[in-house]
Amino acid sequence: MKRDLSIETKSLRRLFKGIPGKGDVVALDQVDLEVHDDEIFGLLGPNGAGKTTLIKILCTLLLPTEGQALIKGMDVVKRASQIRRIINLVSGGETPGYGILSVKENLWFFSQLYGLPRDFAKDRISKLVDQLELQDYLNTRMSKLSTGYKQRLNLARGFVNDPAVLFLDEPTLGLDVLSARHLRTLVKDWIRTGGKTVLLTTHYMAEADQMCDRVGIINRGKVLACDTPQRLKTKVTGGATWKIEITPSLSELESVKSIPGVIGLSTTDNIETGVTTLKLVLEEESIMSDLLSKIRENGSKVLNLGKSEPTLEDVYISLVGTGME
Amino acid sequence: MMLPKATPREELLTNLRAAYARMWVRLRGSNREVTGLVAEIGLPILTIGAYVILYRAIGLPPTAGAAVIIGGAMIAFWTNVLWNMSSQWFWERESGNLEMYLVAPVSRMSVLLGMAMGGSVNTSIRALGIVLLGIFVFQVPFQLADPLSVGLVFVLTLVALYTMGMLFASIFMLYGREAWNTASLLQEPVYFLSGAYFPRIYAPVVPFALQAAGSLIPMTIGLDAIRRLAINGEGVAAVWPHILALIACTLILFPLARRALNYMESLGKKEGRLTLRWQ
Amino acid sequence: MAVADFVKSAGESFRVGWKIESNWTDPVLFATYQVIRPLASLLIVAFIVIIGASVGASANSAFYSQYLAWLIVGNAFYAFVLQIMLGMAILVHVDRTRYEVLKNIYISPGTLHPYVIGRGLVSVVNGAVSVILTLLFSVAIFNGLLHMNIPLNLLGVNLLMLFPGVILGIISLLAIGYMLCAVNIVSNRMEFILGDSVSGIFFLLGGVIFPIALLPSYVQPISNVLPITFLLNTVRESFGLLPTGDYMTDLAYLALTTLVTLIVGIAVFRLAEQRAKKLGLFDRKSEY
Repeated sequence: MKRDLSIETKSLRRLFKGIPGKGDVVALDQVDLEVHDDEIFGLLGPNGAGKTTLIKILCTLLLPTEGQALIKGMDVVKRASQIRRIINLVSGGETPGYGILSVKENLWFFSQLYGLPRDFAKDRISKLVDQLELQDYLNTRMSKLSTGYKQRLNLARGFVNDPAVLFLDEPTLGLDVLSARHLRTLVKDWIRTGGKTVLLTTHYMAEADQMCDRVGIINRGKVLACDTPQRLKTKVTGGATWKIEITPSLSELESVKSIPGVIGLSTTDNIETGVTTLKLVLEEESIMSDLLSKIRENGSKVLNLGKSEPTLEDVYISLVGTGME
Repeated sequence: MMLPKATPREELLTNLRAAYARMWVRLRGSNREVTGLVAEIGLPILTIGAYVILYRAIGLPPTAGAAVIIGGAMIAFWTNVLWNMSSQWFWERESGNLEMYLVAPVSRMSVLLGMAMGGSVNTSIRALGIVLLGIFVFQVPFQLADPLSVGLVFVLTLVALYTMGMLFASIFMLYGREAWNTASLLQEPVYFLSGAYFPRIYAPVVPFALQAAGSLIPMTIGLDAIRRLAINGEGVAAVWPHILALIACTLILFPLARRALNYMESLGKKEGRLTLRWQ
Repeated sequence: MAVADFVKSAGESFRVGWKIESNWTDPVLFATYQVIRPLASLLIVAFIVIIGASVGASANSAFYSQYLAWLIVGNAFYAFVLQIMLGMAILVHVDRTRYEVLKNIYISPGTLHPYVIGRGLVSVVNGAVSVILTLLFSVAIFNGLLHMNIPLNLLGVNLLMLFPGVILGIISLLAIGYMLCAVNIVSNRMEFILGDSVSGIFFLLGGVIFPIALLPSYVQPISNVLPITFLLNTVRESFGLLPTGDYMTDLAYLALTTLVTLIVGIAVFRLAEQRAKKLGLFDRKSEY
C-alpha cells in the first residue's frame, strides 16, 4: 500500500552569501526527497553538508532559493502558518525556554504557543513528564537542570503539540548512553502511535541504523543516496568492506586514498597500542595487493587483515569519502 | 493530504493564549527574585533623589520634586520598553527561544503583545513603588483633582509607549549588538528630550527644536499630561490635545510595527539571519 | 608572576577588551555612544540649573554660571565612574555566560588578575574619551551656542593638580570594579544591578551635581569616605572651581581612601576566587 507523503522536496536549492569575492555558498543543491507517514527518516552527512539548512527550510525558518518543499502537501513558503500547527523542532545542544521558570512552567508556556486549552495542556504535560521521567524535576527551575534533563525537557517541548512531523536535529548530542537510549526508545514508541513522521539528523551511525526506516546521505548540499539502511549497505558497499590493522600509522594517507578502486577509507588510531585500524571500501578485491604494497611503502606493517560486515558507517565512508568528523 | 485551515476563531484563540502565556512568563520571571524587584524600585530613587536635592539647591518649589518623581517612574517604563521589548528578540535568539516562536503557529505580534502586557503590568508595580517611596522619602506635594483622567492618560501613554516598543522590536529583530547599542543610545537622550527630570512646563529655556523632537516620543506627551493632572491639579479639559496625540501615536505605530515585523521576518528568512547568533 | 608577564597579560587583555567594546560595531555608532549619552546626562542637569536661573534671577548671574561650570566638570568626570562600574560589573557575566572563556582564563597560569585589570583599563580609556568630549561639547554648547559665559577655561587647567587626583581616583575606581567582579563571580544575575547601584550611590552621594553639604547630615559621613568625593574635589580644584577647597588635604584623603579600597578590593577578590573554586562557579552560566 502506498503511504502518504509527509515531507517532499523538489529540486530544492539554497544559496547563502559567501565571503565577498568568493561567490555564493551552495548549501542545498537540487535536493529531491520523499519521506512518508509513519517513517523515521535519517539524514546523515558531515558538518556543513546542508542537513540543518534543509531542516530550517522544512520548519519554515528559512526560504528556499529555488525549488519547492512540502509538508503534508503544503508548500512551506505559501502555507507556513498551517504547517506550523503540525510540526515541531528539537535541536540537540540547545535548551530553549526560560531558566528562571520551572520545568512545568516552561512546558505550559510552550503548550500555549500551540493554543492548547488549559486542561488539555495539563493532561498532555503530565503524560510527557511521565514518559520522559521528569516527575522529580517538575518544579525545578530549568537553569538548575543537568544537560541530560534539559534535553529531556527540550524533547518534551517538541512533543507538546503532538506534531504530525517532528524534526530532530542531532537530538542525542551531549547525552549519556542511557539517556540517549531512552530518547531513542521514546521516539520509536511515539511513531508507532500512527500518522507521525520523524526527520532525524545525527552524527551517530549506530543511532541512524537502529532508529531509521530509511536514511539519506547528504554531502555538499546533494543527496548522494537514499534507502533503507540494509539496502544501502548491500547496494553501496557491494560487500567489499575490509578492516586492516597496521603499525605504525600511515605517513601519507593520501597515497593510499588515491589508489584507483579505493572508494572510501577511514582510520582509527589506538594511542595506547600504537595500532591503526583502516576501514576500506573497495571496488573489487583485486586491488588489495596494490594496497598492501602502498602500506609497506609507507613504512607500516600489517598486523591483521580481514573482510568485515558492512555497516552504515561503511556506506557513509564510501559515499562521503571519510569517516564522520 | 491537505489539512483544513484553522478557523479565524481557532487562530484568534491560539494567538490570545500565546499572548497571555508570554505575559505570564514575564510576570512570573520578573517577580520571582525579590532582589530584582527591590533594585528596580530602589535604584531610580538614587537618581531621583539627586535631582530633587538639586532642585532644592537652586530654590525651585517642591512641585518640581513631584515632577521629577513622576518622570523617574515613567522612565522605568521607557527602560522596560528599551531593554525588555526593543531588544527582546535579540535575547530570545541568544537563548534559542526565537526559533521556537518562529516554528509555532502564532503571530509574532501576539508574542510581542504578551511581552508588552507583562512589561507594562510589571513596570506599573515598580513605578508605583517608585512614586510611593519618592513621596515618603522626599515629602513632595501632589494635587490630584481628577484621578480618573490620570488613569486614562496613564493607560493611553502605556499603550502608545509599548506599541512603540513593538515597532522597535520588529525593526531590531535581525540585529545583535546594534540593537543593544541603539537601546543604550536611547536612554539619556530620551530622558533629556522627554523632560523626565525637569518639568517642561517650567522650561521655556529649552529650544523649540528639542521640544518638538521630544514630542515625538509618547512618553513626553503622557508625562506632560500626567504632571498637569497630578501636580498642577488641572482637569481633563487641559489635556485633550495630549489624549488625542497619544491615540494618534498608537494608531500610527501599531500598523507600522506589524509591517516592520513581517518585513524583517521575511528578510531574515530570505537571508538566513533569523536564527543566526553571536552577531 | 613576574611584573613583565603581568604587564604583558594585562596588555593582551586590554587589546581583547578594546576589540570587543570598540571595533565590533560601526565606529560612528561607537563615537556617538561615547558622546551622546554623557552629554545628554549633562544637559539634563545643566537645564535644571538653567531653569532655576530663569525662575530665580538672570541666566547669566555669577552664581548660576559658576554653579554650571562646577556641575559640568563633576558630571564630565563622573563618566569614569559610569564606564568603570558598568564595564567591570558585567565583565564576569559576559565572559562566563556569553563567551564562556572565564574558566579558560582562570586555568591559564596567573592571568585572571591582569585580565581583569586589562579589561578595566578599556573602561578607563572609554571614560577618558567621554570626559574630554563632554568638556569640549559643554564649552561649545554653553559658551559658544548659548553665549552663557560659563567660567570654564579648559586651557587654564592646572595639569599638575589634575593628574595626581585623576590617577588616584582611577585606581580607586578600578579597585571598586575589582570588588564588583568578585561579587559577580560568586553571585548570579546581579551584574546589572551591581553596576547601577554603585554608580547610582556615587551619583547621589559623591558631590557630582550638588555639594555634599546639601545632603541630609546623617548621610554626609558616607560621602566623606567615598573616593569619588575627593576625586571630584581635586579635579574641581585643578579647574579653579573650588576656591575654598584645600587641594593637598583632598589629595591626601583621596590617597587614603584609594589605599583602603585597593586593599579591600584585592582581599574581596581573593575571597571570591577561593569560594568560586570551592563551589565550582567559574563556568556557571546565568540563565534568565
